[in-house]
Amino acid sequence: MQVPFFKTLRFRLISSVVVIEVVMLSILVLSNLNAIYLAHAERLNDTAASILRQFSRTAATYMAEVDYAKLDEYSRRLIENNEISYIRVTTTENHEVVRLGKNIPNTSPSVDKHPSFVDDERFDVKTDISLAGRNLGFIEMGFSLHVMREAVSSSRNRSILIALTEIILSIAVTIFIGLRLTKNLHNLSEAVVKVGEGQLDVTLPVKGDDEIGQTSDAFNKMVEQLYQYRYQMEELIEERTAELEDANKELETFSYSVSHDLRSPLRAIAGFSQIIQDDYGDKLDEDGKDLLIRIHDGASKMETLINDMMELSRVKRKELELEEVDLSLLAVELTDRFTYLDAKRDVEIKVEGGLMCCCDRGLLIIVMENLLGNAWKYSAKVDKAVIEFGRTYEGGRDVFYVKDNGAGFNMQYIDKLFEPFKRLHGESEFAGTGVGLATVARVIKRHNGKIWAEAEVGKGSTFYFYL
Amino acid sequence: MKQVILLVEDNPDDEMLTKRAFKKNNILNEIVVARDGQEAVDYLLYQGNFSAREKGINPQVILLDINLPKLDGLEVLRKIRENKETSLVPVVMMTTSDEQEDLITSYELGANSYIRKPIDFENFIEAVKQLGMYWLVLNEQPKLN
Repeated sequence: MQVPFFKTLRFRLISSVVVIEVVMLSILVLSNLNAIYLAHAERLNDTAASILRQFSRTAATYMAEVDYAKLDEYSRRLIENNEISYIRVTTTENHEVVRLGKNIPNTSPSVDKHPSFVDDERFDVKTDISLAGRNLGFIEMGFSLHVMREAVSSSRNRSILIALTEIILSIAVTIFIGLRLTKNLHNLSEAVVKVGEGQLDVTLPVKGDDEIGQTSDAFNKMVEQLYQYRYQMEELIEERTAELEDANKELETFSYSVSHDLRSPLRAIAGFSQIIQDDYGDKLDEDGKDLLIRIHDGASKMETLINDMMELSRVKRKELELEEVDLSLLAVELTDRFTYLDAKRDVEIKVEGGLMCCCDRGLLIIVMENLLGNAWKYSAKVDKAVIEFGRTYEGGRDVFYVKDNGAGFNMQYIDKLFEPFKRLHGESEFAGTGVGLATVARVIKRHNGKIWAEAEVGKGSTFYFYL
Repeated sequence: MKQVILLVEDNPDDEMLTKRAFKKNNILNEIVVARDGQEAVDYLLYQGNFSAREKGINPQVILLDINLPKLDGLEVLRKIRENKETSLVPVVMMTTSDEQEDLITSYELGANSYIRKPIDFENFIEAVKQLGMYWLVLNEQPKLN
């Protein structure tokens, strides 16, 4: 069983570590960068304020003396050493007296309050030049943000480099742990699948005493237990099979004895009562003769019983030989035979043609003989007997039936119908041993089929079966 | 030369009924009875109690029950067929059992006929009649040199 890669524990572990790292490091880097930026802006603001104050004080002196050359010289010195990009000094009459630097705006630019709010390349500031309460002019200065931005950008690059390194390192560690964990899990899952398929010679290597080691150890113990259980189970099955075989053998010996040893004394009874009738018949009165006939009949009945019992036991032991059997043909042959043997009766026989079935021919002959024989027997006392063999469908399968309009039976006793030696009619009413339907039921069961009956007293019965 | 029938039967009732069935059918051959398998083999091979028996005379037919004390009928049959002297004597298996396996084994071992003793005496007499008719009257036995 192959788990898709994106569903593996390994993938999930690694991807969650990466997501957490990226989010957390981004927050860290962004907040750091912001702090650095603010610090730089603050410094620039202070520097600008202090330079402006100093310049204003110095400029006031030169302005008062109207020494513009000195002012210009002072301004040039100042602009060389600082990050000042331009200086402009005007008188109160808006007369420009100093104009230095690059990109000097022609008109007074709007004054920036703080470097962090600047939207162009410069931090523009402006102040009055005053001496003893008298206004002498204005100073406008622009401070380049280049240095500050450079610093922030190099900080950002460094931070990103560190964050990336950390992400790579943690992925590597996660992969290492994940590999170890998932490899063992994978081994365990493979082993479990094997055991599930019944392979019990699986052993997991026990490495270390962590949870995985413990699980592997427990798994090995479990498999060993399973192995032992199975071994014991097999032993038990073997034992039981041997017992069953013994019992079967005993049964065979028993039925052999029944068929042989019970018949011998019967033959003696039948034979000697016949001899008495032959040799001493003239010395017996009618009662004596009647008694002899009863002895003889008793022996015959017992023979039938033994034969039926033998058949029942043979049906149980016989190996099934499956072939296509024409049940319709069988039904016709059997009913023809009944008609021939019992020519006095006028029975209407209806047989549906071409009903085939895959079964053991010998055993199905027993089934058909019994069912049709019963139909024949139990319809003996009705005027217009009708016996029918046909097919119907139930639950998508062929169901065969044998139907008669004879004596029927009370459905209350349906449970006893297929039990050996259980009869629903008295011996004087209809002769029989009560083994026939038990034999039929056993044949049907051996074919993994089912037999059932529907009947009504005086209206007949129908036996359904499928194989 | 008087033809002998060898009846191998341990049940005295069956022995009596069989003898009677022969009588009823006017089969008057001498009937020698062996009451177990060993006795039958001794008789045929001139051993034990029968070592003094006149040599060279085989029964006309052997009626052999399957269920016998000491040696069972199938073993007796095997010995009869293994021995050169007796290998051609007709053997009719007579048994009460209707086990298919007994029937098949009997024919495999070389039985000439197999009848199941019917319980009804009339039927039994009929079966013996057929048997006598065929094996005692119609059947021509090969002569041993």
